Amino acid sequence: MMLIPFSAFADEAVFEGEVTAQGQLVHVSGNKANFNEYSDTEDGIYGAIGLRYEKDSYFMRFNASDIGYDTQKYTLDGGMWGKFKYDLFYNEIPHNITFGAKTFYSGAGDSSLNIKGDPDNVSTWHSFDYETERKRFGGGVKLDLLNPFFVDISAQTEKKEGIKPAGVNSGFARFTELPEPIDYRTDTFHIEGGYSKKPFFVSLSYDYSKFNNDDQALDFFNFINGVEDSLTLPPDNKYYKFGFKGAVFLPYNSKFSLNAGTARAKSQADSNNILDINHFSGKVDTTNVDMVLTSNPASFLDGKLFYRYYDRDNESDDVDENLSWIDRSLGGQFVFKLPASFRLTTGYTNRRTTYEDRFDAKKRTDDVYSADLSWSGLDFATFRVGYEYLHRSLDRDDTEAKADDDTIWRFDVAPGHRNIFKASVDLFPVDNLSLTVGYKYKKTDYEDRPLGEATTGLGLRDYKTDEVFIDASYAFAALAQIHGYFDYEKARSLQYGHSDSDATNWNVRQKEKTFDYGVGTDIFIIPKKLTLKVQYDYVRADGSADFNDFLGVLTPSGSDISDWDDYRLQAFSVRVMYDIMKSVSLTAGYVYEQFKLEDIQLEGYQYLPGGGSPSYLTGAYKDPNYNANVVFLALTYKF
Amino acid sequence: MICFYTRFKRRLFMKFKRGLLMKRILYLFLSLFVFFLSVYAQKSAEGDAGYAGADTCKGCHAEYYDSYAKSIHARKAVPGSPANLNACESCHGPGSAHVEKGGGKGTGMFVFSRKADAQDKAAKCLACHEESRHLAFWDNGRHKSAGVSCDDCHSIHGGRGKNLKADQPDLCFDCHKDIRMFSNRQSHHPIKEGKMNCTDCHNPHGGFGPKMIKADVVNELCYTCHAEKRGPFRFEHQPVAENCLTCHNVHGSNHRAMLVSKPPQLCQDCHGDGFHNGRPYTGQTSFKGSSPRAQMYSRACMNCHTNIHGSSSENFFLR
Repeated sequence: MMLIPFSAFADEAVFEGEVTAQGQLVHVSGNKANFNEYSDTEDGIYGAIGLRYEKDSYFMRFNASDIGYDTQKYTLDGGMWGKFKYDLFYNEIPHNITFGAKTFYSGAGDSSLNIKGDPDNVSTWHSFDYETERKRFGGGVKLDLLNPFFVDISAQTEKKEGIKPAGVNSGFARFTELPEPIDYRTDTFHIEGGYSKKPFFVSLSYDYSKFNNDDQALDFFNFINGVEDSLTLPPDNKYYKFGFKGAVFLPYNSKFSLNAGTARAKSQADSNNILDINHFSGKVDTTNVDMVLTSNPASFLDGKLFYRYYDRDNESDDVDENLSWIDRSLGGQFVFKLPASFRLTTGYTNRRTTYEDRFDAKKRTDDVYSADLSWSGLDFATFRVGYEYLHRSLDRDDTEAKADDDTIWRFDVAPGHRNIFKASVDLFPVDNLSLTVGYKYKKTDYEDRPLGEATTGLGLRDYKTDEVFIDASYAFAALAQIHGYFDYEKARSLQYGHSDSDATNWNVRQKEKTFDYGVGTDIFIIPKKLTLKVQYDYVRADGSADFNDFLGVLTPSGSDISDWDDYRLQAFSVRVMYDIMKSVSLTAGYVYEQFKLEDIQLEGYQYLPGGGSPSYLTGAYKDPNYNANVVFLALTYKF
Repeated sequence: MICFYTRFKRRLFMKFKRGLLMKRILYLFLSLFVFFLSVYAQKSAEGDAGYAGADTCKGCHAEYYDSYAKSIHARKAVPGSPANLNACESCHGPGSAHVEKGGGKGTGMFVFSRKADAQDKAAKCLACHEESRHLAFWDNGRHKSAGVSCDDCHSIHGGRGKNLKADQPDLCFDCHKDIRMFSNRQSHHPIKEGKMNCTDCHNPHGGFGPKMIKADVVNELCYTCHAEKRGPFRFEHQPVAENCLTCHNVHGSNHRAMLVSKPPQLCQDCHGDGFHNGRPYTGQTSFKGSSPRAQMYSRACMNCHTNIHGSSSENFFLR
């Protein structure tokens, strides 16, 4: 037994960190935007810094990554334990959609477009990129100086700029795709103060969010209609919310919690002379109350009762349809720890949504029943099964839809029922081996119709999914580790439609099969000195849509779709990590990524579809396939 | 005379009675004092008795001790840390009996093993952290009722930031494999790119929102990053205003914009009757079909109905 001197635990100052410089070469053939959808991977040198300082109760951390690139991120946080904490951050998030899109308008990205090319000659069009970039910065402070009283304050500003695809119609058959400008700024502020010491917790909070759009409309000359035209863009809005949260411990290991809030969202949309619309002031008030009672009166019983109330009140002036509703939920959940390592969880929820002016629904009621059973009687395994049943009913009395004998039932309110069944097993036969297998089945039927109501049953009729998950990992002592996963989902849906022009019904059965798997290994060639990591991931999706109609004329041969978002995504990476010395390490690696999409909505893409009376497209999402190769070498210095 | 005597006697009696009363009260307080003193002494004695000390733990559990020593739990500067209490034994319980028996199981030590009850494990952590505002509503959350304990995600003996056993999202995907499956799909939030974390939307420590989200309703959460969708709009789209998840699978989808199914079929789930919206848009209506239609190719219904989340102009969301 060693004698440990008391000073061994004294808090000496600690300053450590690491700096990484990574040089990389990138070759992408195909759609560079899709490869870099949320990244900025290109030839160059990437830097990252991580610093940490601690002394006594004071600590500070700084992290920087992708310095100078479109994905750069900086965070600084620190404080004094038990007294206060602060954080500052700057984060950029790109979203690249399509590079090299084309339009016959000039001014892509501005709020006004002018024709500066021959609309019927694509070679005269101008090139631009569909991409957006978010730049987010902010910070906060958490004060515990007067513990148990606390105050949290945070603020953030986000600027989002770029261009996204939009479209405007000219009649039912023709349209023009346009570059919509994005020039948003969102400022948010949050403050919360309260008291937290058993048996009470109380807090009051205030949230404020202000959204500003520099462009209230996109004005352009509609070449098809031959008139000046305009597309309204998201209006400025403000949102503020007052909230209260509280909790009190009660006898028998119980607790009562309360959450209440009131909020208001207001918007201001400019008038638009081209569209001949007036200024609009929107106002929506929301109120919410949540009450939860939890109790653990005995070691084998854990219970929860809850009530939720949410009221949305649209008080905007001059609205077409007043979308206001009240949502109430009431329910409970009980956990029973049974003998022989069984654990049973049962639950019930009743949820009612009452609409004020929804044309097709007056009240929607959901009853949800659930039960989960797990058994961990074996040291090396845990088994779980679960079942959930939802029954939905709809009251359509006194609605326009009922009066008009509306034939379609919107699936978000349509009566029906849903069954979910799931099962899983976690195996740990030995310490260094784990295996998980799981299965989930979900079926939703929207078929319940009250007698006397229209029984044509249009819209979504049923939706089924089967999901399988397999996970495994094994460690070969200190030599290597291997891990893998496999996921599979099969989704099917049935939908009915009615064509007025042909006076007949039709249906479509859609199927989607998706599976993804990955396998990887870490080989410790020289333990703690030289490591080889290899990883391979693969995702494949296959979709289809099979059409039928009773007349047999709407869906002739060749109508069925076999390329319905079919894609393959695979990624392979290998990296060698070598610790040259304790403070210096070298990593060399290679990454290959391939994406291939076959989708009937993009196959045979045309900028001027429609023959002699064309529509005008810009190439958004066109040709998304790519192959990418990345080679990199990184040097890390730790101190 | 008699009255005086009686009064004197009464006064004497009262004095005596008061005195007796005072004595009794005094005796009572003294007794209580002695009682509580003895209880305190007893607890102190118990508090010292049964603890082996961290040095002893290190003798047999050097690897665990070393990892603890590097963790925040070993920092004396942190108020209330185990380093200021009984170090290892703050969580694992008094170890004297364990040492006397030469180690091994069945000696009363608390072990954070897979077999240990989740609630018992959580109680060890909550003994110190229960009053943290971040855990004020732990009891409300699905993690607690599902038998998840603190050590399923946190490593008490140190780890990454916030003592997590792994970085997000891998940590969460360990249990939520269906979410892993969705986040691998072609249309997804930038989670695997490291630009978003699960905890940007969810509070794993419980709260009031559905699915433990950091808001009271789904849309309120979405609007924190997508404020342009908040409106209110002059012309609102019911499913949009009520729940973004009516149309979107927020964790990922095979379809553009994380839609639950492809337009036009997604739209025809609600609007599948009428003239142009009631037609079946089959393979014949694609770019390569016999009669290409704007409702099918490229962005389908959104080719025209661009302002699908709400419009300031008109109720078909065309302008």
